[in-house]
Amino acid sequence: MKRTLRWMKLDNAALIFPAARRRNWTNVFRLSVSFVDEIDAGILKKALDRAVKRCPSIAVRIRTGVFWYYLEEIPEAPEVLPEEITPLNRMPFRKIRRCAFRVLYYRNRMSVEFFHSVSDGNGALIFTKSLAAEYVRLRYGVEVAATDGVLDMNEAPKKSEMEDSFGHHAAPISASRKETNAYPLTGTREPDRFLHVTTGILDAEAVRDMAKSYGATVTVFLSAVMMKAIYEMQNEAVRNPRKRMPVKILIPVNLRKIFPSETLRNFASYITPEIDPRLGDYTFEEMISVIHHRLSLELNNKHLASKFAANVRDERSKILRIMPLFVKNMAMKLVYNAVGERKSSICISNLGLVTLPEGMRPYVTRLDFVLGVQASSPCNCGILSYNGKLYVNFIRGIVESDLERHFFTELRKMGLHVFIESNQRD
Amino acid sequence: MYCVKCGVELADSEKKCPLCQTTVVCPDGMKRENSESRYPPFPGNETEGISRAGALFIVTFLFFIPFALCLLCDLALNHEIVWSGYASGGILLSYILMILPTWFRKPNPVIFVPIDFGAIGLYLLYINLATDGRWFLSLAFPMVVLMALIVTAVVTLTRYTHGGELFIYGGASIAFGGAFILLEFLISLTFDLSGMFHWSPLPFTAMFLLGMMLIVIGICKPLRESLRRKFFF
Repeated sequence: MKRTLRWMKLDNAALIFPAARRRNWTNVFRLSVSFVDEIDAGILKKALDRAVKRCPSIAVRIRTGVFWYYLEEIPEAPEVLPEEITPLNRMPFRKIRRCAFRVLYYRNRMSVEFFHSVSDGNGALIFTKSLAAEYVRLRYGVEVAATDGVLDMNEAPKKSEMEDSFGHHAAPISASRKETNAYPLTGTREPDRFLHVTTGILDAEAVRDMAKSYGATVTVFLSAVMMKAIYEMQNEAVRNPRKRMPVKILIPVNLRKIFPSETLRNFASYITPEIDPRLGDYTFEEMISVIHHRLSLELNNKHLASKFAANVRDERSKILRIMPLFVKNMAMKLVYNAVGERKSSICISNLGLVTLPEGMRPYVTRLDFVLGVQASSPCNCGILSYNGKLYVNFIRGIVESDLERHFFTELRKMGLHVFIESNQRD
Repeated sequence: MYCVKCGVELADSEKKCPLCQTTVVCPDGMKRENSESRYPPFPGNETEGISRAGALFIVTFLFFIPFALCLLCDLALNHEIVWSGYASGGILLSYILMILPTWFRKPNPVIFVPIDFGAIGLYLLYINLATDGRWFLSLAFPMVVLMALIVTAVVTLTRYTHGGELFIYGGASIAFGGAFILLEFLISLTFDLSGMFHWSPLPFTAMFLLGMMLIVIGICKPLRESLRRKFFF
């Protein structure tokens, strides 16, 4: 008998991504796990087959309805593919219609690249860790406990993992969406759309101590370093202080830590600390203070719930609901192109300290989190810590590497040891 | 290895610093142990083009709408084709001239130019018949044939011969000038006008001079070189 495939509405945050896509750009991000040995593609496929059954909200494809896009469970796991091209290479929408994620392998590294409508970084991390755990179990014959965010493969998928948590937790009134435009990073686009990935590896303990010395968390500290890097770049590029624009760092917030939710789908919001260089010069300590206080002010359930309530209200609007999809797409694309990427200079997404169950730790050497570039904003930064190392992954669609240079040399000047590797071409 | 400029440690696979592009200096005898990159070499990106057939279907549909609307409105109002033949014929002619060649991946102008002139000839024949004019055989047909011959000759020679463009375009310019003379002659003959060659010598002279100038430039190499230097961009 033919199996009936589950289908789900796109969650509130996911709605924008299919509409905002362009011919040469879709919003994707990547999580990689490096093992001690070369990847066995056959075993990885077997592990994926099981992971796909356990996570039906992630193993989906995008389908087009009359009024909305929707997610449909894929009947079987996709093939695991050898990584032959640059990380986060364009994922054409026709492929997203078949499967909204892809699993790649290269030497000892397994990577999962997700279309953002499927999940956010934390939801995707759970799927990736579970896939890696299953791979370790099959490859090395060790039992891996379902702890540290690894799902039990023998368990049935839970309804709570598939819910759209935005709707459940939206506040009755919505906060204003009005925001100032930010200083945009620009440069010479790579003509062949090559994406530069530059990874800085630091000692996690040393970074934490450095952050502590400024009275800040690692996220606040690294965001301040990023803010300083962009602030200096703008000062070099725009000589007239009155013509300078606010430097704004978009910091995604994992709402699962604030609201009770087990969802594997998108459930993240963001906070955008900013400094306005027209007001005068800023010291690094002032930047730390701005970011710290902004996060303290906004990082609470009431404020965040009112922030995403505006989007939930729009989604529930009767007028919007009866509009055909192509009209919604045009409207959303117009709004996204007009304001979507102008409200922040860069996104810095920190998944924090990633832990793995004890059984698989000896086999996993490294994890990486790489965000894709935005449609017009050419740089992004994904961070995570694993096994005493902090991995800062920059992605860039332009030739100039000024941002990474400013960022890492700033850390270097503070006395932190930085190890750099990249995918640069000769 | 460390970048001498940034002070960061670089992976052995890095031949230059990814941050500042400074070439990595490797002192004598120092081996780079793990010089393989963590990423596969970049073979180039595939570009997703717009579906050609899909785009052409849309354009064809956009042409079809006014074509059909004109005919339907005319038939509904007058119960016969009165004015819509001109409008719909014009739309059809525009489609043949602009869109038809794009259905082919490499349209050969040597084939499409005669087709275009054939379509122009048919459209003029329709107008002639619809208006009961008696000018097609004596005026439109010879002019269309002559223009078709000149343009086809130019595109054929340009496509299949190497060099000599100045001679081809010079000759074409003189031939077009001559066509103006023929045009005025045929107009006078068709509509029984008194006197001949009132205005046609003017464009003929201009085009003849232009054509001769191109031919002279083609013949005279020093002049050609001098002009190339002057008009270099």
